[in-house]
Amino acid sequence: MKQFWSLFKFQTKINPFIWFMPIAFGIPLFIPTLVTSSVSGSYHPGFYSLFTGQNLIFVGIFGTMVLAPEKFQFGGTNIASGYYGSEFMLTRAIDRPVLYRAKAAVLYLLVLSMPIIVVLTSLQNPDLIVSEYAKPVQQLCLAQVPGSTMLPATNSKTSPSLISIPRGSVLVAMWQLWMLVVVAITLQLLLMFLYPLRYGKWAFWVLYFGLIFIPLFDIGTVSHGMPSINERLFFSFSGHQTLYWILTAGIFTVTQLWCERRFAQLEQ
Amino acid sequence: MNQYPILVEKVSRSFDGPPVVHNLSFSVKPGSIYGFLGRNGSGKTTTLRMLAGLIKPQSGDVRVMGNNPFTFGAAERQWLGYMSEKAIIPAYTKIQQVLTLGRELYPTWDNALAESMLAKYGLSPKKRFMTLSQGNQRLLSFIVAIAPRPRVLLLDEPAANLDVVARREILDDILDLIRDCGCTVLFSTHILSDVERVADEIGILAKGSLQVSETLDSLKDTIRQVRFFGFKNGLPDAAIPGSFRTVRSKEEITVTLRTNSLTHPETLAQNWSCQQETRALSLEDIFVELSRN
Repeated sequence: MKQFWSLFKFQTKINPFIWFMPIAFGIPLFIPTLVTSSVSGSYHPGFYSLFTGQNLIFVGIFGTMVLAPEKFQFGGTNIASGYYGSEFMLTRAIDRPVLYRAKAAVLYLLVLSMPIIVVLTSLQNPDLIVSEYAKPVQQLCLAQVPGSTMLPATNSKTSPSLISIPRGSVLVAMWQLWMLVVVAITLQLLLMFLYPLRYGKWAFWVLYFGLIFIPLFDIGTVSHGMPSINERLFFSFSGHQTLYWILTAGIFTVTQLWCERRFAQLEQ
Repeated sequence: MNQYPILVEKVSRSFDGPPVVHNLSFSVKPGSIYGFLGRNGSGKTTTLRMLAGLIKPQSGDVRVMGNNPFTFGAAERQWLGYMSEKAIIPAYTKIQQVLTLGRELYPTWDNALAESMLAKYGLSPKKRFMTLSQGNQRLLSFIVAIAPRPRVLLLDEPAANLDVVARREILDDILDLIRDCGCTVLFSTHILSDVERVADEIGILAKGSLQVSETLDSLKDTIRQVRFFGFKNGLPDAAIPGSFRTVRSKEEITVTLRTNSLTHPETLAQNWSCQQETRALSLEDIFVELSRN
């Protein structure tokens, strides 16, 4: 444990500039909170796809910088060695799995600090009233989100239906937190899987930019009047939060242990 | 534990191409300083990176203090000091942060030594690594490598980018360290004067293979350059046993060879009915001849 804390502290200081990035990338996470008023709010940012958009940009950049810059950052191993100290750390009196654990802890701190602040902020105004035009989505929400109820529209002809969700703001903030945890876990797996491959770096960045640009072509987001996969996932999470978190914790533990062992066997 | 703190046996390693290190074998005796000579690209850094546990040999065996360095944990790594040829300390970290990490990771960390060396070279602990001159970056890397009081110290081009005075001081510190703790040092360099000042034994690497591995005195005593001329029966075609490099012209043969009973210049001259002229070589001459081979 002592070694972990020493490495963790040192890792947080390796590149002070990365600590500005959560603020820049974290601002979009506040959108649901910012648009929430005493009258109405939105859960629609929760419908963003899991592995695309801001989640991936955010976690992908941090993941490569923190976990394996010498392999996945551009500029060659010399730059990575100098700026991130990969070779320096591996030649200190450390256990490699503990070093990886410290790196992963820094990644999760970077990635989750803002979402956790958003969760805490949402506790101040926890309930949510959302406007929803689509009937199938309304029905799904009422069926799966605990305590959700329809409210009469202010003008039945022109206004959308309103749904009241107790602790809905907290729910959206927790969903964003969960999405980032899942993306970070997936990224860890992907990086450690690709690391020893000859073209691993290129495979990663092709996949990364591919996923970022997919939403531009609306692939996977067209619902045709029916709830999309992302919407179904969001409502399913709403109804089974505890189960989702327990499963995620289990997957996280297994992933973390596998990545630590994998990292210990990798050449630099 | 093996009697040699550093042992390399029949090691080969390549990186998507011809072998950088090929069938390399050598050992370093406890408490001695081994100078690892070679031109740029001869395989020195690859060998040191294998000994530091950063990469694995594709064949053969690498042992540091009797164990495979790639599998070292914190306990074994406490006894292994490593200084890379590159500036590997994270650029934005402050000297103080690097020293604090050293204190926390190494029970044997000699803080007095680290601080006295910082003071000796005028390095403020508040400075960030990236703001140091190249020479001072090398100095800090060296301090970080020796402050844990390792049993085995691997130094890759320790005096690169240092001015003459700083280089001499560093080498003096290496000598002081060995006198203090009897640690085993393997240092690579292509600066021959460094080797002549400190090394007990020398290995010369060329194209990934070790050409010689012995004491400096033995090297200077046994390797000679011989010019054979005045052949009465024409130039012999046969290869000369023990020769490192042979240059033939119409009338003479110049050979760099290791002299022994079979390849004694006078014996060879008698066999070939010619005259010979033998020249002792400096370390620089030997290095150039073996590297050109």
